Amino acid sequence: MDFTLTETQDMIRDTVRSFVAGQVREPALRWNEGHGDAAGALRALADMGLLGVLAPERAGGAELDALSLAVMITELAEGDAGLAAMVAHHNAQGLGFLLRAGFTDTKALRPFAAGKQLLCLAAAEGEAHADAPDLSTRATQAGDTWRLTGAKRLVPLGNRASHAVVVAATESGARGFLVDLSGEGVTRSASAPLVGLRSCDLADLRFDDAAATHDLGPAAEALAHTRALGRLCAAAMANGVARAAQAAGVTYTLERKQFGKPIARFQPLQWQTADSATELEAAELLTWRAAWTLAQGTARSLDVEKAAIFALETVARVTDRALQMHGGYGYTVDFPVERHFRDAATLRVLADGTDVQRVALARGLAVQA
Amino acid sequence: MEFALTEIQQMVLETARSFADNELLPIAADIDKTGTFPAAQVKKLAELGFLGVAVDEKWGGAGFDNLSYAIAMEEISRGCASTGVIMSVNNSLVCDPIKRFGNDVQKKTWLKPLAQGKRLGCFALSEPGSGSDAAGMRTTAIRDGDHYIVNGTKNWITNGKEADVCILIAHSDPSERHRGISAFVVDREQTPYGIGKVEDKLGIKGSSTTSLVFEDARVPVANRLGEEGDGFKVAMSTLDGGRIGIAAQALGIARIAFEEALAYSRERSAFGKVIGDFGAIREMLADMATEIDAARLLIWRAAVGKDRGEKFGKHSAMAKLYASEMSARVCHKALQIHGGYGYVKEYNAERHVRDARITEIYEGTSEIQRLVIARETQKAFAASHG
Ligand SMILES: Cc1cc2nc3c(=O)[nH]c(=O)nc-3n(C[C@H](O)[C@H](O)[C@H](O)COP(=O)(O)OP(=O)(O)OC[C@H]3O[C@@H](n4cnc5c(N)ncnc54)[C@H](O)[C@@H]3O)c2cc1C
Repeated sequence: MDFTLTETQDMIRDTVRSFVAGQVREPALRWNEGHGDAAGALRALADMGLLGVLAPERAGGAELDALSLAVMITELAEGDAGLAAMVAHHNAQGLGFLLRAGFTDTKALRPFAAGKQLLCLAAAEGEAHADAPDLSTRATQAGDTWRLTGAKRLVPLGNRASHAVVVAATESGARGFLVDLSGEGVTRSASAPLVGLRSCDLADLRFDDAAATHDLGPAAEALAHTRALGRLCAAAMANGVARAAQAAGVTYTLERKQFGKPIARFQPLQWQTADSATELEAAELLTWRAAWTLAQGTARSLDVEKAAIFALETVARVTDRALQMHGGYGYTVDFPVERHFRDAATLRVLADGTDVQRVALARGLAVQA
Repeated sequence: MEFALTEIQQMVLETARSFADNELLPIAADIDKTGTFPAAQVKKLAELGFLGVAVDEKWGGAGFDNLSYAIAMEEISRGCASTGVIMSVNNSLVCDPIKRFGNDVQKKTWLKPLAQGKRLGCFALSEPGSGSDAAGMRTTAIRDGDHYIVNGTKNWITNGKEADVCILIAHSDPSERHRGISAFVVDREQTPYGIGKVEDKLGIKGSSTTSLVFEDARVPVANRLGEEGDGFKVAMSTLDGGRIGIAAQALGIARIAFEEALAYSRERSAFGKVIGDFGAIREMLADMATEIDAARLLIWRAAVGKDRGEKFGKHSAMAKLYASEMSARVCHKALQIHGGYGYVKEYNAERHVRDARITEIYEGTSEIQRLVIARETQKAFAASHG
């Protein structure tokens, strides 16, 4: 049992932490108000080699483990949740699918692993689960090429990505396809803005007889893998947002004075500080363990669901308390807590819902019983 | 980061689990009903080395680490919460301070038989008038030549009835508060003292809780732990470690409550299906399982911190706060899942609720843990923000 980071993980954390302090925290305020965007930050992360975290070195990736990914995503989310969501999506969903699907075309992989091009995963369709038979996006084979027709909503990186992994129904079940998003038959439009994660690029994609560049095979396995990675990243993001909110809240209580003393001296505020600190650290421990379990390749453990449920519930409470610590000021856009509060609410619905995960977890428990 | 147990820790886990399965689970309900001290089981714990888990073999202990201790505490408390606290007090509150503050003679005289389980210990800090505010104690130990003369009453002492060695915290200089406090090993064979009222309690009924009465009791100077005036430090640092044990006790209680509720949810049917398939029951079970794991990680982190000689006070406060409140929630839900059967003694669910409740109170109430955590957290932010 060892709760310390390895040297590499430690280095990644420090690198990302100082990147966030220097190039994310300030501009994030503007990105979230629609002034400017995080494109520059994404390019900088690509140059740092952090857009191919899980990809093999031979394809230009960093070949790191899930724990390194989680550590990095938490740090990014502490600066800006929307940026963290995009980086997580490219690494764990787009690339995560390709790698798990056994995509070995190193030449095609290289630009994604280097972060020169971004890759998104267009799987779920709102009502239909990605691996459900009722996917409305369909693929049919015409000669050597597969052609896709259908629509996907709220795809992270959908506007910026050069390619998408699209999951579509075929006669033999759901399959994954690599699709060039600048190709014919693809239209993309920015999704209606969400309550939070405002700096995250989200698009609605339409495919009208669009040709796939690669058939990635049956999707189920790779989807299960990206779902686990997605839950891990959701937990990691939640922890980052919670950290930012707790820092803002506690710092504010140390500065704000009422009744002649800092409000940090009042027990109700101390209680909130203590509860948030405790729950947040528990959430991080669960998240790191889940990442470790994934890195061990342990088949079907319930660690990921536990981490995601706990972290997503925790971020809701921590951001709520942090807002309350600020009193009326917390309700204004002059302080960052209202954004953390909105980001928390958004994370909880995007990460396929804690309720869905509870069902998955309870099923697993029943099997173990 | 590494979340696997070592071979030794795994062995401790398996030994403790099978002991709980075979020797504790079958008797726990009866221990509760009759309020009897589980003497035979405590004797067997001694044979397993579980009364001095983290004490060197040289001093009669098992020679394992504090993580092994936390693991064993969880498993033993899963079997029987009363046995859990008896074990916790002897390990954390009695052996540990002698190990850390005792000299070799004191270790040979007391630590060895205590760790071997030949004698049983208790820890006397609280008084009728002082609990959370420990330094407000009234008991005095006034130096008189080669002895200290002790007068006063200690309250709420776990193992008070059975113990024959007592770690006593008292004022050697009543004109001072914290700095006037000293710690002693009081040997009942050497220094007879009185056992007062035996409490009748809500739970952990197999463990005795008594007052201890000292009337001009003479304790040799050689029995003092550390220097005169070190007593408050001895007591507080001891409780830092003790909280790991109590957190693990809370976790063990939650574990058994959860296991029984999960099993029940697969057996009981209503409206044509097993209740475990209702969304509301599933949600409770999912949350219980999640929070149990969260508590365990907090506990293990604190234990590893102690093993590494790091500062672990905040981490053990977090572990104790979270695990005890988690245990109360989990036991509450476990009772709910049993419906009416949860409220009757035919099932164990009501006992777990009663047993879990104490963990929010002793070795520092939840309020005291929050004070510790808030103070440390605020200090860290104040330091990092100028
Ligand atoms: C079964 C049992 C076994 C025990 N075993 C032992 C033992 O072996 N040895 C031993 O020394 N003691 C033992 N205790 C005593 C136990 O540690 C105390 O009961 C506990 O520390 C609380 O003290 P108190 O009961 O005096 O409550 P009080 O300190 O009077 O507290 C009453 C309430 O006020 C709150 N409170 C107090 N101060 C503050 C503050 N500053 N801010 C906010 N809230 C506050 C408390 O949290 C609590 O809710 C045992 C108790 C029980 C019930």
